[in-house]
Amino acid sequence: MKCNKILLIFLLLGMASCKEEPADITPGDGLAVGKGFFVLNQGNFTLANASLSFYSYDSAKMSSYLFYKANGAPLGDVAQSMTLWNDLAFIVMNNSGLIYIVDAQTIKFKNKISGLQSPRYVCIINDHKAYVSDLQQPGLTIIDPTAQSITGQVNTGKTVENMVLTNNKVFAANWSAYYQHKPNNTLMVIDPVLDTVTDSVHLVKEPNSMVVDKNEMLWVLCSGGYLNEERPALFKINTSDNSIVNRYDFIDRLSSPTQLVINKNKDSLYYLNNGVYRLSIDDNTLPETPLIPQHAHVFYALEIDPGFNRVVVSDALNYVQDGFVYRYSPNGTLIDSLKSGIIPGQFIFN
Amino acid sequence: MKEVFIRHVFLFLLGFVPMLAEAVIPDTVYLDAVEVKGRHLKKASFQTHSLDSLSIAAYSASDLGSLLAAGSNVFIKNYGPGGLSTASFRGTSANQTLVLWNDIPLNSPNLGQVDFSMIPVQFVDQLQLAWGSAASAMRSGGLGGVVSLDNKPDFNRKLILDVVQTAGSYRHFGSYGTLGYSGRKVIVKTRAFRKSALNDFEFLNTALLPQAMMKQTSADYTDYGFLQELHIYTGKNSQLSAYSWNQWNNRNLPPIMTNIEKGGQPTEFQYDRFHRHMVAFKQFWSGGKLEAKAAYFTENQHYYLKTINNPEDNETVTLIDSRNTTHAFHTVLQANHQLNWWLELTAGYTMDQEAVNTTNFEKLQKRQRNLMKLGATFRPLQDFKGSVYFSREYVDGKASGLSPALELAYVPFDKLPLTIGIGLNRNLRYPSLNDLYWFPGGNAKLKPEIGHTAELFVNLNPQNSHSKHKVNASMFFSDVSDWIQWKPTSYRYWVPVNIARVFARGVELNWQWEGDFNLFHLQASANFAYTRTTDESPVAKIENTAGKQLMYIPRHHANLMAQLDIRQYYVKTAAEFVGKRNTSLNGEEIFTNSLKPYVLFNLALGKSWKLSQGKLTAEFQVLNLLNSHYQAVMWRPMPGRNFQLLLRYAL
Repeated sequence: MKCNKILLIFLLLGMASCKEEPADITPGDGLAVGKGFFVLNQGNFTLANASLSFYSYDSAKMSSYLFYKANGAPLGDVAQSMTLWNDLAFIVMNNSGLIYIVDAQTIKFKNKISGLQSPRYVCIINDHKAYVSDLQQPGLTIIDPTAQSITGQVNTGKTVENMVLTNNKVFAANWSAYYQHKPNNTLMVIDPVLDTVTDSVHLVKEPNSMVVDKNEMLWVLCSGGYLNEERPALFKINTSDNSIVNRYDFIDRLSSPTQLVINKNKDSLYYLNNGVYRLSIDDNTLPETPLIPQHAHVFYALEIDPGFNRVVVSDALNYVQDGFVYRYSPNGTLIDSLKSGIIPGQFIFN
Repeated sequence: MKEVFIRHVFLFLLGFVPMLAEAVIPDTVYLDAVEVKGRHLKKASFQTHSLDSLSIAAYSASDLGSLLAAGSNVFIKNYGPGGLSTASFRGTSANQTLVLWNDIPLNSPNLGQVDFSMIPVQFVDQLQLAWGSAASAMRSGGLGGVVSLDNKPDFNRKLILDVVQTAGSYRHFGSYGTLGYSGRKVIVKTRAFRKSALNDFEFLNTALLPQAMMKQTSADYTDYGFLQELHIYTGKNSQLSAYSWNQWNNRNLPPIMTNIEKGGQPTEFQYDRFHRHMVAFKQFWSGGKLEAKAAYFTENQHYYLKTINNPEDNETVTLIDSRNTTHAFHTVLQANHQLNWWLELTAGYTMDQEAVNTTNFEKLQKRQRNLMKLGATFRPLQDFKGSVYFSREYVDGKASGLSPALELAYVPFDKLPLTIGIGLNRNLRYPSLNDLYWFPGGNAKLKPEIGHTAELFVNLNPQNSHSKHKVNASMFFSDVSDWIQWKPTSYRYWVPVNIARVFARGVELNWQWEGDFNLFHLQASANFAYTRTTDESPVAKIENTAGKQLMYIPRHHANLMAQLDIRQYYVKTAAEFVGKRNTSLNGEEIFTNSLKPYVLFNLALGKSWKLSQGKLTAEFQVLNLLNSHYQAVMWRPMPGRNFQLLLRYAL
């Protein structure tokens, strides 16, 4: 008899048990992010816990999990990059193999481009053409950002990571040799009209980030390789003739500089290398001391606030909990710190 | 004889000095370890938990992971039907669960863990769970606990025949057969199985926009294997056994719910083949026995991922073709001897030689582990007993510290079948070869994890003419220091370090009951576990994760199994409740930070027919009767209500 009661309790427990609902948060119809910056939190590989946060200048607060709040679904598996275009945001979900296209103010789902293998970045060429780089495919996928569909391919023969459009050329960094076993120490030059590779510049291993300065010079930061095979280096490249104007070698071969960014005036460069470093585009040597020491942080993403020239840097902590975003004044004084999501990997200013 | 034994014990103790130990081992007869299995051990040594025959029989056409999830306090993390299934005890990790098959470890030297979906319950005769002091007394490595699987020779049963056929939803088919002959002096027995499923169940994909009903893809599997046994009475008091366990597991690996529309038409699968061979010799004498075992295990794991550019040209874009081969040679020597009415001594020696050849290491890696152990069980008073145990392990010649284990039990009342006891122990787990040599990132300087456990337990076994109960309650505290965690580094790859200090504590309850009422026979068992497990290391305090429940360890876990027999009919039920599990170390209650609790409820109706020879049984099962939509692992869909038919014929 007692057993029957226990059975009954379990049965009732079961009946009361959760049928998992699609969403436990009402999608926010009234969401409007306003002015500020997005933080794209990568999340952990295969755990699909990427998220989107937004720091509002008006409220001086960080709002997190915007995509889920707006759409009732997770963002996906590894949010690699986000590109704003017109009123839309193209969010590249690396391991989900798709690009979510959302309203940049309400974050409401508009469309998606799926069927990609391992997309990384979007480079908008014009209203009807954009390139999507891929960690696995030896080429670029061409999409139409207006029609929001795949329209073609650019054959590069190797994988491409970051891309920069300048001087009517797309400079594409060959960062990875993991899936396509091709040299990953080059910078390709692509004609965006013909969709063909026109030139290739030999650098050092793993060119990971690029910016263009006020003189139309392209700066490319190379980390030297996954296993520190080469000494890291910063290259200054003339975008007219694709020639290397200057090369700055890092002293410590075991260092791994990343996240090269530039200020609004396009005359100061910043990068991460166990701390935030800054140099002028006119400097002839790399800085020896950081503007902002790393201390116990795990600095992961970097950007310069175009409105105030503030340094915005993320701390991934232990990579399995929500990271932090630190804002520093242009001279490196801490302003505030704000919690975002797991592995804050990119800042996007609107 | 006693003099010889005492001399050997003395030399064994000296053997903890490494050099001397090496000199002594070849000439020393090491006596058995503390016996922790079987009826005899339960009476005289460390406390273990046996899964009852009802549970094992009910899951004989299933895998060990499913059985443990439904019938024990072990928490099973299951990636889906036919997918990876790992086990953790008392708030520890899957790597800290040691699995023994006839005393030989099944844990992969490479990965350190065991996939419980690859162990058919049909291949197991006895299943014991041990933790705390009992786990430490068995071997090193089971910081959480030990799952001990044994094959028990059953002589003089004549012809053995037991065949089971199952068929169910999602094109599930399973065939299980046991055929053999059991004579007075010889047993020859073969167990074989084959199971497969397409697993194309429907689910609501809430992880991809727009949300839609989808069919699971690439989740099919086919597993088959056989276990060959031979047992011979070689003399009046000696027995020789040989085992050969061979298995082939082929599974496709489905994408998680967010990645279903990934391009490249990925083909991703994992093949596991293993061959485990063992010979065992037992010699009995008045008051004692000696066991000697030697085993050779080899395992091949093949992981494959391919994507193509487009279907027309079929050009390969991604190709990962990873092959791992492990070889392990194990020996076990153990003996016990009852010195007098109140004291029994045990001793043992194990040697494990491991070699792993994988594309993930720079070169072939080998390791040799030697473990020596010595223990005693004493019963100075009729209502008091104790067991004490010491072991020391040498890895590639380097000695670890001494690992003691102690358990004391007391029966305070004459008329109440109540036992109270305590257990204290220290245990070690050496890093896996992956932790040490994975390239890049493996850390050859890793130290073993060190666990200290304290336990209080109460056992109550009341019975009357109609029914009998068995109730176990325990409270445990476990402190694991130098817990190995993979951490990111400035070199951009992850490196394992001895960084965490995990404090696990909790309460476990187990209740088994069996009773007869007129035409009814009811048998039931229930388990409940409350587990708090947190990282209390200085690093965790800096990272603000101290005090947070570790990932994928539910605070609350409960299950119930019951079978009601009414003449030739029966009803079986199994229910499991799994509480909320953290999926990150964030404290915030947000969708990706935790998985919701769920209840699974299975029901089976059956009937048996007694034939002139043997018995025929037909059973209809409803699995996930309540059609719960749940995830055991984040973004891994699980099937809703489904059905299975089972037919069994046994002599």
